[in-house]
Amino acid sequence: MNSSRERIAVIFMTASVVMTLVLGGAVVHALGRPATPVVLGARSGVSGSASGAGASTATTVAASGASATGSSSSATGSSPQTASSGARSTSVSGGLSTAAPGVTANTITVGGIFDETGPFDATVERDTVRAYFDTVNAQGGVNGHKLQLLDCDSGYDPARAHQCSQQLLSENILAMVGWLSVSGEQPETPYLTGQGVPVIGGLGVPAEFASPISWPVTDNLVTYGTAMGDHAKDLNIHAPGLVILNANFIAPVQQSLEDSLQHNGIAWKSVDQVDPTKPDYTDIAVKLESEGADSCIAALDPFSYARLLEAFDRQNFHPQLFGLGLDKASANQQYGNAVYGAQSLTPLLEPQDHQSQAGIAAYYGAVQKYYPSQVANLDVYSEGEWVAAEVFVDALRLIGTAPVTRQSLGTALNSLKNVDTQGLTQPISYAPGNTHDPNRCFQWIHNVSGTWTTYSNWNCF
Amino acid sequence: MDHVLQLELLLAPVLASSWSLLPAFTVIGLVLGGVYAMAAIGVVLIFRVSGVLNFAHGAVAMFSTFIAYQVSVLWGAPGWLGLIAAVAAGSVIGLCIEAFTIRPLANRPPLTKVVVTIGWLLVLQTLAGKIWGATAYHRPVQLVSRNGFRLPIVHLVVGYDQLTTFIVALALALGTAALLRYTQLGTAMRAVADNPATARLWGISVNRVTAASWMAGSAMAAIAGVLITPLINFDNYSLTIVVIDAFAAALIGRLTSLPMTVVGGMFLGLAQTYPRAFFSSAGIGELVTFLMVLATLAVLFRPGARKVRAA
Repeated sequence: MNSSRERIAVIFMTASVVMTLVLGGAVVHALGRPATPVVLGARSGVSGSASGAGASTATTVAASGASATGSSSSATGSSPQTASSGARSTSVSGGLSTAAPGVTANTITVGGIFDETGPFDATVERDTVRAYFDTVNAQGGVNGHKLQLLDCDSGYDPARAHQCSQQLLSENILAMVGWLSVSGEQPETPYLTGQGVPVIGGLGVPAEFASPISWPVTDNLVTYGTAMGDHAKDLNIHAPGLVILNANFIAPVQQSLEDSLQHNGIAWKSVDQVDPTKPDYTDIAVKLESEGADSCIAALDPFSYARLLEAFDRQNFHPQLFGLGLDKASANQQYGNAVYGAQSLTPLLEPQDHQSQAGIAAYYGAVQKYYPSQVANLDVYSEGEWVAAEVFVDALRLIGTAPVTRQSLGTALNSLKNVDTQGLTQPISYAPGNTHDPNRCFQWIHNVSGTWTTYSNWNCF
Repeated sequence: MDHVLQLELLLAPVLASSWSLLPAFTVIGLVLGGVYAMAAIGVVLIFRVSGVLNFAHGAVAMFSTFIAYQVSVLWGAPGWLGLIAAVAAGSVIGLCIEAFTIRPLANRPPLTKVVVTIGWLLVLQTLAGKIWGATAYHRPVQLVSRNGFRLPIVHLVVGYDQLTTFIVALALALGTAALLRYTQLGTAMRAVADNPATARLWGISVNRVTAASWMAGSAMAAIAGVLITPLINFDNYSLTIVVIDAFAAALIGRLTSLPMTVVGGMFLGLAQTYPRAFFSSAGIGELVTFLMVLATLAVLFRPGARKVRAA
């Protein structure tokens, strides 16, 4: 009896060792392929001008005259064209690779890491990017290529986000487009860009503003801090309590908020960092009330706001609430009357009071058509990823009929000037350089009887 | 010396302000403790009768609460109907766990059974995620109004839902203790807990009694889940994790005493809440929980301490 059990155990162990060796070899082989060369940083010479195709090697030429078909953007000078001697060519020294992972004759595959499970729900961002791609694909795609998004669930876990990066790399994505992984973006942006993967869009964590091959579309969260501190003065806030989500990118954001408040002569009462899973905010409400806080400046996720407002409401304590990312329709159902009069800011046009605006209509219409159940979940972050998808497609159109490679994509992105996002943002421009920070503007919004209403023009910082 | 004085002057108003929060934070902590106590009672009942530390208890609560969510939120039925559905579902899940996976392992070591409950935890968690989505974006079943009343001395508003959780936790603890002490089923449960073989000789159906304890414990999990979810994140993760805090409360009750488990829950709630008056860092509550678990294990379960029970 024992010997037969031992035999079974030995067989299982042997099988597991063999499987480990096989799978390990496959992983090493996949990650070691030259399709994802390490890139140290783009040269400033990688530009959109015909003469300035700075990554000038034997594999890169500049061709003029091929304008972006159907693009809503314009490039300064001639459109950059990159001709590669082959999809698997070697990397260009100091610039993006001329390799073309994720590009076949018919499809272009990009990746995205999203918090699809856990305390956040970024499935709406994933589906927003897909809705944009579906719209483009329904019109024939881009230069004969259909667009495809591979997604991976990071579950608000940096370790899983890293696994996702490795998985998407092994699946040969061309770029990351419109991702939203709250705890994954800060560590994974340097990793992915270090692997030569262009990153377009994202939540706006500081790391996305520190790489030559990251092209954010929304404001840096650090800029949010500066703007909120500045606008607090306009709101006659004198003694706020600060409630901030505990996340791996939050330190510089908190610092910028505190610096800005101090600069504007506002002395805050206390700072409370909270986990996104914090169940009850009664302690925060009681604390702020006892401290005599006249307001609460908050940087939380939409459903943490619901619990914060619930605690305020229960304690019959109604400080002025000024928070980022408050305008999510599905969460607003939970806020109830408690959110009336709350203040917020947005780097993108507020949808709730601009339903008939062309850009908003296109954005809502596409999500309504392809993912109707997600319409109520749309928010400022999904709108940002919509713009990221738009920027990506504009860059592809700029490449024209030339081969789509990471390098040509980077060159095209750097050539985008005054991208017309149909009014969803201030016009977005990029240029070759070590970093990109194209959107530093906000509009102030407030909640009027349940509807978020814009009451300012763009304020840029 | 000047620097020390400056620091004291700087901290004095902060500390004074923090100490003044303690009365209100006591109430907040007791309400939180009621949540932990309620989650812990079923754990203790099942452990007392069957000797199995049920790691799936929180998952059973979570799954049953999702049943209530399906009935009351998605289908629009009244909240009490959702609660009944949740209790029924919890009982059935408890019965399934016991009959199909614990009973066949009757003569196996307790650790084997614990591992089986961890397996159930993962199965229920994954299943709920697949059916209802694995995010926190679910609207909980609201059985009791969130409105409340202001306590006169501490000037704190306590919600009727919070008060209900607290009272139900006490009632369940006292009720279960009374059931074990004064009813025939309770006597049978205690007999099985003491010595299953002897209980069998006395004509007690050990299987039925054990199944009844699992059903009752899981039904309590369902009640706890429905009442707790409006107070915490409602997803397939948070309620499952609440059971870790519940274990800490149950350990204080030495996994046997229901009244002491309630006291343990209250103590844990207070211990997690008080530091928030002085520290702004996230995670201070979790730190307290794990320190309490370690301290309880070290003190109550030290070598030579009275044995909890023969598993």
